[in-house]
Amino acid sequence: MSDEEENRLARAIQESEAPHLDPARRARIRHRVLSARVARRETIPARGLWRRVALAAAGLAIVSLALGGAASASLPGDPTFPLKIEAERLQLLFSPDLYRRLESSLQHADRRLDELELLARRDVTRLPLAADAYSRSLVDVRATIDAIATSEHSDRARAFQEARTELDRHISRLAVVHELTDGDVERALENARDVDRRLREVETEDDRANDRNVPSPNPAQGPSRTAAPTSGSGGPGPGGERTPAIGPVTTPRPSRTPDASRTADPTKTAAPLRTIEPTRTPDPTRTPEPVKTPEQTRTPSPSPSRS
Amino acid sequence: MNVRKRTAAVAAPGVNGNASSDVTSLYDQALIDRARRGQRDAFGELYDRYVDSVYRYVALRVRDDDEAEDVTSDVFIKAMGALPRYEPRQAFLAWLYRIARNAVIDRARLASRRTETALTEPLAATLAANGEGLDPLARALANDRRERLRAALSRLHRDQQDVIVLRFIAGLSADEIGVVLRKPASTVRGIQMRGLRALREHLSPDDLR
Repeated sequence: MSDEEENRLARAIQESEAPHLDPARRARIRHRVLSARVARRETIPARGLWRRVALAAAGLAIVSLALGGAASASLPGDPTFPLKIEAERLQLLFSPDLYRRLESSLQHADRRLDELELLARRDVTRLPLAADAYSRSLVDVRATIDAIATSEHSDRARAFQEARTELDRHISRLAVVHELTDGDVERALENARDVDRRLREVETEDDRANDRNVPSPNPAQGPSRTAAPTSGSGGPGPGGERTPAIGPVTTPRPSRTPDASRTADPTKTAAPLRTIEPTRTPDPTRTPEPVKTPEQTRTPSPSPSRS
Repeated sequence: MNVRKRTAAVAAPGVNGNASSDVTSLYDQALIDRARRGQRDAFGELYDRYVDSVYRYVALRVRDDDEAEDVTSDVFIKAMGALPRYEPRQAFLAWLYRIARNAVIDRARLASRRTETALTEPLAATLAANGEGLDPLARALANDRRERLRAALSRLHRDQQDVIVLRFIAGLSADEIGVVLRKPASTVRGIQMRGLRALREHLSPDDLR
């Protein structure tokens, strides 16, 4: 495009009649503008903005605390009780560590049990609600136990032991309430026993796995350690040891006491302690299995292959 | 390019600093301060001073005069609401043009289709038809010519439309347009050159005679 052409075009645009605002239109716009209700958005200085944000956050925190405080004292059947449950669920949701989550879920279950006991004394009509709330809290406990069971959490033994202690206490307390009431808490008691059973299963599986994985530091000690993976060999192995403990939950379990010493020693060196257990040592059927000693396994193998 | 600014276009206070516009901007500033305090008559005076410039720009960027009226109203209502945020460092008219530009863009987004006006009549044929006291036929031809220019402009890129209207209709310099569009003057000149080239393709050869 040449300069001349460009000039001509520019002149054509320039000299064309510019849009003209006629007086009627002008007055109409003026009236419309000046009679408009203007929503003024005042400029907020940065400092002022932060102050407002901070104030809003503080206000929100105060309201949440007040609401949470009011809800924390609520009981099943109260209007604010669902608020408390939701707050607890949020707490679980923001607990990435499984050990902490189990701890929190057990705390929540403990709270539900407190509420249940309180209502058993004050208002028996709300007892089914409290029992239901308790059973629901156990769902979280159970789910967390399962999650820990499938994980390689470093504190799993401790977590299971603490959960078992806590659940035993729950079962004892529930049994007391159950005797005083007309069976409203029966279902809750059953659920607690279910979770307790599941916990014991997981612990048993853990024990078996531990026994299988502990390497024998000295082949001379082979016979005592080879006794451990005898599940299915007919002898009273670890599974056989636990069987009586799964029964009535409130019965004391002396067989579990040595496990406390195991948890204090996570490196599994406490395993020799298990030979003291009467259930493990009298397993003579395993002694004729020296197959795992390196010398014996090596000697027979070359000869058939060569022949 | 040897194009002189139109006197009418610069009758309104300047966009950029020159001696007269400095004096004007002091007066403007007093009006703006009063308008900020909620005095509607002060804003009314600002409206009277700038409405022609704004309307002229808007009218060539939208489909018709009625839409131009609506958009111009919107521009001043928005300006009134945003007055507390206006910074006197920039010229008031440049600020208004920027609001107008955004209002036009918003309007174009809302409108799914644009009216395409046939470019059959030569633009040059009606160039003479200008000013007051035209007979109805001449007025109709003038309107028709404006509609064809508007239609041709509507086919250009948004920035090209802005530059051509602000340059040749509003009469701003490249520097002044740069203030409105927040672009360097050299970029504005480039856009103007490409805009004119594109505009020529959308006008009939007779329009340029």
